[in-house]
Amino acid sequence: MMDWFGRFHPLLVHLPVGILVLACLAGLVLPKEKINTYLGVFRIVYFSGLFFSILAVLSGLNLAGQGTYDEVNLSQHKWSGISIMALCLLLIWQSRLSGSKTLFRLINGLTLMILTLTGHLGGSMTHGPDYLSVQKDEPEGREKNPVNDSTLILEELVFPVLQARCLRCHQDSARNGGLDLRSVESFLSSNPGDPVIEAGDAVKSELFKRVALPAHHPNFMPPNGLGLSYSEIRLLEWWINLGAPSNKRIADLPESAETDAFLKNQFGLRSSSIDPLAGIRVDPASPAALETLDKLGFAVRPVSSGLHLLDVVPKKSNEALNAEQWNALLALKDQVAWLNLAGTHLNDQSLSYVGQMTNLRKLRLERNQIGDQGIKNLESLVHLEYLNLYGNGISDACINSLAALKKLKELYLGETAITDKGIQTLKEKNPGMEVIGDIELW
Amino acid sequence: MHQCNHYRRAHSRREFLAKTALGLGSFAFAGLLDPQSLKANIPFKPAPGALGGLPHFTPRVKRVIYLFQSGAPSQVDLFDHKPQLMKYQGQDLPASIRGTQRQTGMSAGQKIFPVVPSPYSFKASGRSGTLFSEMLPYTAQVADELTIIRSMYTEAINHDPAATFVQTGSQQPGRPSIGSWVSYGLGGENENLPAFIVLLSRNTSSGQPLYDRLWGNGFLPSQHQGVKFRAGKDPVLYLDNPAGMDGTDRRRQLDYLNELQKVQQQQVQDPEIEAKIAQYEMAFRMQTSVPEALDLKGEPDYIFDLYGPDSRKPGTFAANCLLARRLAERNVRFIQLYHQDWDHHGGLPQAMPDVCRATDQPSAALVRDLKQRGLLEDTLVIWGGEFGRTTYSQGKVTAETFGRDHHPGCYSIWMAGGGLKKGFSYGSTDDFCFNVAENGVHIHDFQATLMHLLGIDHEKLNYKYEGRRFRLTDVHGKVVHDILS
Repeated sequence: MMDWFGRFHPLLVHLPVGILVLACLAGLVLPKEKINTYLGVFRIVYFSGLFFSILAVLSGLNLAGQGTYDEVNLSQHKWSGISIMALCLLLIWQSRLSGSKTLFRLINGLTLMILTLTGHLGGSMTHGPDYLSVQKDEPEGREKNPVNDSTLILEELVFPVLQARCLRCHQDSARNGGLDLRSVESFLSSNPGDPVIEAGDAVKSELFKRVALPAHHPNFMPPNGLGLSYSEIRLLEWWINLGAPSNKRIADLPESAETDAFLKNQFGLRSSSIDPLAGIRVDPASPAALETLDKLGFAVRPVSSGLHLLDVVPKKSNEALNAEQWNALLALKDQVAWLNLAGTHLNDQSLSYVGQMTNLRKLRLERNQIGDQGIKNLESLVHLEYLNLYGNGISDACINSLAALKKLKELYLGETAITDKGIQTLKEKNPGMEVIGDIELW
Repeated sequence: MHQCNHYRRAHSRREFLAKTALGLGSFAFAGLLDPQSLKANIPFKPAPGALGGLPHFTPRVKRVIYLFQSGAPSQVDLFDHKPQLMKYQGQDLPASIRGTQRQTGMSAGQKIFPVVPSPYSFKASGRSGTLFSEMLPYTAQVADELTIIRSMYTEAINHDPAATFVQTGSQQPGRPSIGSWVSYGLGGENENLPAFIVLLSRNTSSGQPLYDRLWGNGFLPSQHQGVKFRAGKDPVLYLDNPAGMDGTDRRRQLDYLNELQKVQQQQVQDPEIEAKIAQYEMAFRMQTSVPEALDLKGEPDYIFDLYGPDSRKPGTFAANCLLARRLAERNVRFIQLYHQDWDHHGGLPQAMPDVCRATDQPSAALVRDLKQRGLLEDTLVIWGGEFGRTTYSQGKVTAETFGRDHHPGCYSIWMAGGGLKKGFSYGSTDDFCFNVAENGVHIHDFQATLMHLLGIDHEKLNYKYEGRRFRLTDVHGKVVHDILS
């Protein structure tokens, strides 16, 4: 029942505040004669101020026992609130005296100031110590930089959650379990003895246990207000189970299906939306070289508009390339990442040009007249991930050259003289490679 | 001429002020925000007919082959196995399941909506164990290459609005087709062939009509409309030179014509004249490229065996699938096939085997053929219709036959190609195959995903027309990341 009365504190405090502010302002600004005329009115007002401030103080004392508020803050708020009661008594006494109003005005001014102070201290407790400087301390980086693979795990993901949810109380290494969340450094250095964080084992860590308990448990954190959300708790658990790393980026984590799934669920960070080519830095192609390549009959476009890498395809199919065209291609050998020369009558000799384009990732050479000798030229293409040799005159003799392409993920060898045994050898030498041979009929 | 005057002023006073003042201002502003952004864009000459600034990000596929199954295949008989329906055979579909789903006038008046379980058996196929109806034995064999969406849904309930919706993002005619948007955004890579080609199956018995506007360019410049290749001897009419004329004559004739067009262009500034010039030039180049591209004589016998016996008959869906592969090899951007025979309001058990025979093997063969040639890696193949079919029978169920009405509430499609999870099924429907139970994919979501795979942000590719910017997905659509690899 008494607890219930305490809940009315936030409501009751506004009554003395309203009443006294009005009366004190009047007491400050009205001329002496007016005040003396209306002293009786002032007295009634101060009496009601006193009455409601007594109610406010009583309910406040009651509420103070219920929650874990910052102690310093609480005691200041308490005493300034009680002093308002005292000031009301002084004002009532003053409103019985006519004559000089200097002391009367002084006490009115003082009451106004103490009222403001008490209100601010109260606000600090319910809305957090920095509720007046919200703009400054809002972690605005979260909105601006969506989570990506260079996001710092503790500093940019976990810590902002702890700050947002726990900083109201945990901001001092001496109190509230000694957890000091004022900065990442103070958080890491506040070592409260108990295993607050048992790196690698969330279930043994107080930090996780306390927020994951049933909400009615006496040890449940936070002690009032809503608990942490499921995803916030999951984030804490994930971070502790990772070994509670600090100063580590998402990209530094070893790849695992669980991590991927977690990142995807929590932040929408998906491997499918990470551009496989984004990390490759090359100089922009010169406009003149691009112009030449276009004039010589190639469709040239950036692989994506944000990258300098190029995707090149001849605009006509089934036409052989001449020396001028090869030179135009080689002028952009650093930039060309995808090249499609399917059905352009290539032979072994022309592959010596292709072999110089060492930044190639995808190379389509199907339906040409390439032989085993020509394939040797491709060994220099160390970044190659996709190679299409469908319908060329190659045989098992080029297996070693193909196996040397360590980054290769897809290799197409249909309609060639390469045997099943050759494909088997390739797969053994390079298990990460998918080799697709002749077509299977139904 | 008076009403055309706005074309003559290339820049009106208002436009001039807006463009110079705002332009300079925004240029300065962009420089303040990020000085790098002004330098990063290299002056690309985009591929023939393409826009600059595209693709927005690295694409997973470079071309699309869309096998449109017009008339709407029955998902419950082909892809969406519902053994629980046996329990309710012949019973009225519960009102709680039927909910507020719209029904067509053809079956809405029925006193009872008798549930019909599929008469076909289903089998788990491939390493993924995907379930396929016995009607699709060949598709089942490429199960591990496919991504099946079982939770597609649409808003339209009749064929034309629904097909228009899938193809253009709007039920009302007049918007550009997906292929036109792609052609407009990415252009073609082969200068001798259109970027958007349409192939229709011929001589199907009972098709809903297909209007040319399904592959129309809408308000986009008209060189982006789909070019329909006819089934038969002359895929494109009047491609041969007239008797007594050789190629040189034709070239000179075109050159003079172009000069005349340009004079007119100077006077009226109509962008459609440019489109016309581009199309005349394309037609000239197609005189040599089309016969070569569509000539199946060079294909070996085993390829015809792969696609099935129909593939030797021009105009069949099988022959068109083979042509689609040849066009894909020639880097055509968007190849759209239509097969019409799927509208089984009645006599479904009688009609289904035929239409499956005509489409199952060629579709699966196309996937396998592309895979072998290394083309599936950067091609997106789509198989699906405009909506689904009801789980209840339209009209009476007899021992021999039943029919299924239109059903927008749920249906299945499959896709195959680069950037997708292979052997993967997404979304599900309730036990009655009537409502989406989980992970619904709206038409606009499907379109957004298609564009995403091509490296296009569906929210950024737009076109200003009649005072506002339009895009394929209008103001909707979310990329279905869950099906992407």
